[in-house]
Amino acid sequence: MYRFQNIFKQIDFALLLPVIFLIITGLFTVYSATHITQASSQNYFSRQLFYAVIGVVLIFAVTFVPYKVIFDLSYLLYGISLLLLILVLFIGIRGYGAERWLSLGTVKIQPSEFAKITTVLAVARYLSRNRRNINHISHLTVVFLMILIPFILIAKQPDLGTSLVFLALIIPMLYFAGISWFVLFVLVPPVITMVVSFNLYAYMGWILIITIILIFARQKLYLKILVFLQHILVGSLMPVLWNSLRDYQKQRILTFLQPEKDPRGAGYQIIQSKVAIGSGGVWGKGYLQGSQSQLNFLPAHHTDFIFSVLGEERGFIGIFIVLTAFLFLFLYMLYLSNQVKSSFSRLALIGFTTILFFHTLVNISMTIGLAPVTGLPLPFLSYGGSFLLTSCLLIGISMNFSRNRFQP
Amino acid sequence: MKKNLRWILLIVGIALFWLALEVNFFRLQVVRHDYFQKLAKDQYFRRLKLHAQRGFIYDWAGNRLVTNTIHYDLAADPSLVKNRKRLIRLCAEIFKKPESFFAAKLRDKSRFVYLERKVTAEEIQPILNLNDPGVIKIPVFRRSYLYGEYAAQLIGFTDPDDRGLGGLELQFNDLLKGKDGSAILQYSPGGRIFYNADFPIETPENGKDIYLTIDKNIQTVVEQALRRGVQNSRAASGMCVVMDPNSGRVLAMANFPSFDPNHQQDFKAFNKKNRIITDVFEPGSTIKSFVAATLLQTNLKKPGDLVYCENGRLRLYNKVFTDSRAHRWLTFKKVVSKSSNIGMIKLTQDLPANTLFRYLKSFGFGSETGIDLEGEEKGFLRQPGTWSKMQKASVSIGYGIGVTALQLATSYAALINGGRLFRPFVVWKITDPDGTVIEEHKPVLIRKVISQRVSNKIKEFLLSVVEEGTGTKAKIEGISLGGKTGTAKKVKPEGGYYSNRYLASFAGFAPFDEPKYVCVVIIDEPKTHFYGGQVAAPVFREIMFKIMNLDMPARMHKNDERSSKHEMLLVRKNRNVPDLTGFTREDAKQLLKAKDIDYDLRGKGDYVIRSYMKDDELIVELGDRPIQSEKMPRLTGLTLREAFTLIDLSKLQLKIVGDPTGIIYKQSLPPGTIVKNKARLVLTCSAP
Repeated sequence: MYRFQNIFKQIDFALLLPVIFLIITGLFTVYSATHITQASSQNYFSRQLFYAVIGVVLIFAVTFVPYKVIFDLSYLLYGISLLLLILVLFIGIRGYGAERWLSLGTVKIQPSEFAKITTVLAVARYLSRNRRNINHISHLTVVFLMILIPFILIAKQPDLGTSLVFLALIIPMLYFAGISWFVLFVLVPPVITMVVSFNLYAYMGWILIITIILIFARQKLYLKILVFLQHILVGSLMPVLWNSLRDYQKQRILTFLQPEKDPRGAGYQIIQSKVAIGSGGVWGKGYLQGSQSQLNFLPAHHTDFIFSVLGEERGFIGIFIVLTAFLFLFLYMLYLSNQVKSSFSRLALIGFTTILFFHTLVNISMTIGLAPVTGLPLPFLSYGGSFLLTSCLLIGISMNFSRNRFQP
Repeated sequence: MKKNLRWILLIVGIALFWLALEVNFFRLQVVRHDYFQKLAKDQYFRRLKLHAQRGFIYDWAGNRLVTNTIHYDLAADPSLVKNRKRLIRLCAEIFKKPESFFAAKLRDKSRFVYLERKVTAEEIQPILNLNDPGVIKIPVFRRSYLYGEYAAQLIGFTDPDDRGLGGLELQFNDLLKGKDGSAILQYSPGGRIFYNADFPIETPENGKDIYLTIDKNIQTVVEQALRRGVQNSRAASGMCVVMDPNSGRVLAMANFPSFDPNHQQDFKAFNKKNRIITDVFEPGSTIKSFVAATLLQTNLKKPGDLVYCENGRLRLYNKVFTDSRAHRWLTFKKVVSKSSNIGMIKLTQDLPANTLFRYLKSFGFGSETGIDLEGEEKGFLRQPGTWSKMQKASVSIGYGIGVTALQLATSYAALINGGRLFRPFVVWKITDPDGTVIEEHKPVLIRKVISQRVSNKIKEFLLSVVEEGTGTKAKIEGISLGGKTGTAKKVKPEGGYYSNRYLASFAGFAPFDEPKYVCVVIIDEPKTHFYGGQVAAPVFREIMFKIMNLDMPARMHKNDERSSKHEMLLVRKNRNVPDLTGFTREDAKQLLKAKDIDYDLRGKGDYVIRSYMKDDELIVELGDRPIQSEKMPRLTGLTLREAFTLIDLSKLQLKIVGDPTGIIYKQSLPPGTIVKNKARLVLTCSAP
C-alpha cells in the first residue's frame, strides 16, 4: 500500500492528464472520421486504440526508468536512429511519394519520428556536459552537425515537413544553453533578410535596422562588418537565385506558400478544411455529424486534417478546449524545464516542447490556411502509430525528468 | 533573473501564437460561419435539373405547327481533334461559314468549343462519319418548326437554348417554357451520389400549348400565292392577312420575304418582323371604301349621285390632283369602282372634317386594333382640328393617314359584315398539356360603325370594283366577291413622295352574300406594274380561289349522296357559275341546262377551253383539245383539304371513298401521271 502510494506520488499528473485528455479526444475524433469510409480490413480506430494503450503503458514505463539510463543511452540511441535513417534511404517503403517507413514484419516504423527524440537527448547531453562554452565556434559546429545530419537525411527522403522540425530545434536549444545574443543575432536575422529581399523598400528598411543594431552592439568592428556583408550578400543573392529557377519550380514553391491559388490541387484540401471548420460554428454540428468529413470531402481527415474534423463537429468551443489543453501542456513543460536541476533535463525539455509546439502550430495553422500543407501530424490526435508512440515516449521522458527534478 | 527572462520570452511567444490561432478560429467559426455554412451546403447537395418540354403550337384544326425534336449541339475538344483540316473544311461546307471561323475555334486552348448549335443528325452526318475522337455530339431536345417559313414572323423563333426571341415564342415564352423540375442529390467527391429521400423530386411542368386561329391550309395557300405575286411583279416585299369578318379570327398572316425559324440566325432582321402589325403605310385608294361608307351613312350622298371628274386633273389649294385615267361625269358608285381621286375629293367637299375623322377613327384607324400580339403599331390619323382643307382631301384618297395591313383587314371586315368592328385575334386558346383549357379567346365586338344598309351598299360598290372597275383581275368565275384596289406613292424618308415607288394593295372579301373571308394583300415596290389592280388583285384572286376550293369537302360531306361530280364544283346561286374549262361539250351543256343558265357556245370542238360571263350570259368557248394537262402530284398522306390545293379540280372526275375528313392513303392515278382532261381520280381516305 505504501509502495503504491509512493509510486502514485511520483507521477506528474499535471503533465499526464492533459495528454490523456488529448489522446482520448484523438481516439473519438479518429473514430468519427473513419467509421463510415473505412474498409473492415483497415480498422483505423482499433489500430489507434491499440497504439494509444501501448503509448500510455510506455509513458509509465519510461517514467520509472532510472534517470541515469536515459542520460547514458542518449548517444547510443542517437547513433542507432542515424543508422535507421540511412537504412530507410536504401530499403525504405514508399508512401506518399517518399521513402519513410521501415518494415519490421507486420509493423511499419518511421525512424524519423524517433530521431527527433534521440537528437534532442544527444544535443542536450552534449551541451550540458562540463559547462561547455556554447559560444565557442567548435562546440557550435558540433551541435549544428548533430542536428543537420538527421535533417539532411530526412529532407532527402523527402519529408520536408519533418526535417523542418530539426531546424526549429536549433535556436531554442542554443538559446537555453546560454548562447550569446550576438551569435543569435548572426543566426536569426538572415532568414528575415531572405524574405524581405523581394521588396526593395522593405529590404532597405530592414538593412537600416540591422545597421543601427550593429552600431550599438559591443563587438569587434571586423565582426560587425562581416555580419553587415552577410546581410547584403544574402539580400542580393536571393532574387538572383529565384530568377534562375524555372517557371514550374517557382510555381511549385508559390503553391507551397499559397495553396489557395491552386484550388484543384493543394488548395482543395485547404478550402475544404476551412469550409469544415467554418461550417462548424460555435457549438459544432455534433459528434459524427460533420458532413464535410463524413461525406469524404475532406481528404486525409483522420491524419493531417483531424483538427478540421474536430472543428466541424465540436465547434469553436471544442477547439478552444483542446487548444487550451495544448497551451497548458506547453507552458507546464516550460515551467518544468525551469524547475529541474540538471541542465540535461532542462535542455531536453526545451527540445521536447519545441517539437510538440512546432507540430501543433504548423498542423493547426495548416487547417485554416495559415501554413503550407506539410504533412506534419497533430500530436496525440492524428492517426498514426509511430508519431503517437514518439509523443508518448517524449512525455514519458518528461515525466521521468519531473520525477527526478532534484537530481543534478 | 537573466535566466528567467529567457523563459518569460518563450512563454509570451507561445501564448501569442496561441492567441493568434484562437482569433483565427473565432473569425472562421463565429464571424464567417454563415458563409462557410452555405459553401458546405452547396457542395453536399446538388440540384439536378429535370427539363420541361416546351409547349406546342397548333393551328385552328389542331395541326401541330411547332414541335420539339432531337437536335444536336456539335462541339469539339481541339486538343483531341485528329484531322483538323478535314473537320474545318466539312464544317465550313455544312454550316456555310468561312473556314477561318472554324480554324480559329480549333485553335482555342480550352477543351470544349461549340462548332454549331442545334443541328439535325442528317446535317452533321458527314462530320460524324469522320469518327474523329475530338468531335463531341450532345443531344438536345429543341424546337422544330414544321412549316418552316410559313407564318414564321407570327410564330417567332428561339435561341439555341430554346428561349423565345421573337413572335409568339417570345410573347408567350413564360407559358410555353413550362417549369423545369429538379431532383436534389447528395454528392460526395469521387462521383458518389446519394439520392436523399428527404427531398422529394420536383417533377417538371411541361409548357402550355397554344392553339392559333390560323388555318394551316389557308396559310399555305396565302404563303404560296404571296410569294408568286411578289416574285412575278419583282417587288421588294409583300404581306397578306386573311380574316374571318364575322369574328375577327385571323386565318392567315404572311410576310414575304420570310425566314426559316429553324435557321433564324441566317436571316436579316427585316425578314423576321411581323410587318403586318408593325409597318405603317399610306393606304391610298383602299381608304376610299371607308370614305364612301361615311358619305352614305351620313346621307350626304346617294350611290347614283353624279360628280364631274374634271377630266383627270384638278387644281385644288395650290396642289394638282390627278386620276390614273381621265373621267368626266361619274356616279358616286363609279367613283369608287374606277377609283377616281378627283371624284372622291369633290364628293367629300361637303363632308365636315370632324365627321370624316370620327368615322375613320370609329373604323379603327389611328388606334391599335387590340390584337393579342405584342408590338402592334397604331398608325397615324391626326386630329381634324389640325387639318387644312387640302389635308382633308388627301385623307379622303388615302394620303396623310397611316395604317397597318391588319388595321385594313379589321376595318374591311367591319365594312362588309354589317358594320360590326371586331377585335382581331390570333390566339384561340391556351391549354395545359393534358388539354385542359386555361384561357380561351372569343370574338370581341368593339362597336358598331355603320348600319347594315350602308354595309350592304358598300358591298355592292366593292362588287362593282371587281366586276367593272379597277379590280377586275380579282374576279373569279363562279364566285362573286368584292374588293378595292389601292396604289399609293411611297413617302421619301426626307419628305415628299417618290415618283416611281409604289405600294400596291388590294382589300377584298368573299363570298359576296355571306362573306366568310376578308383578305388584304400588300405588295411593296412592284417593278413590272404598279397598280394594285394589276399586282395585288391577282394574288387576292389566287388566294380566294384556292380557299373556296378548300371549303368544298366540308360541303360535300354534308350531302355526299346527292352531290354529283359536277355539282361539287358549283357554288350556289345564279351568279356563281362554275369554271367549265376542261369539260366536254356535252357535259357542259348538260350541266348548264340543269342549272338553268343561259349560255352561248362559241367555236367548234368537243372540249371547253374557256368559259366566262358576259352580260348575264355564259360564254363557252370550245376547242378540239383539252387544255394543257398537268402531272399528278403525290397526294397520299395528305388531308383532302391539302390535296385540293395541289390539284386542279376542274380537270378531274373526282371520287372520294371512305371518310372525307381523313387522310388519303391511296390515289388511283400514281404520282407523275400526265393528267388527261377529265381523268378519273379515286382518292381513298382512312379515318383520321
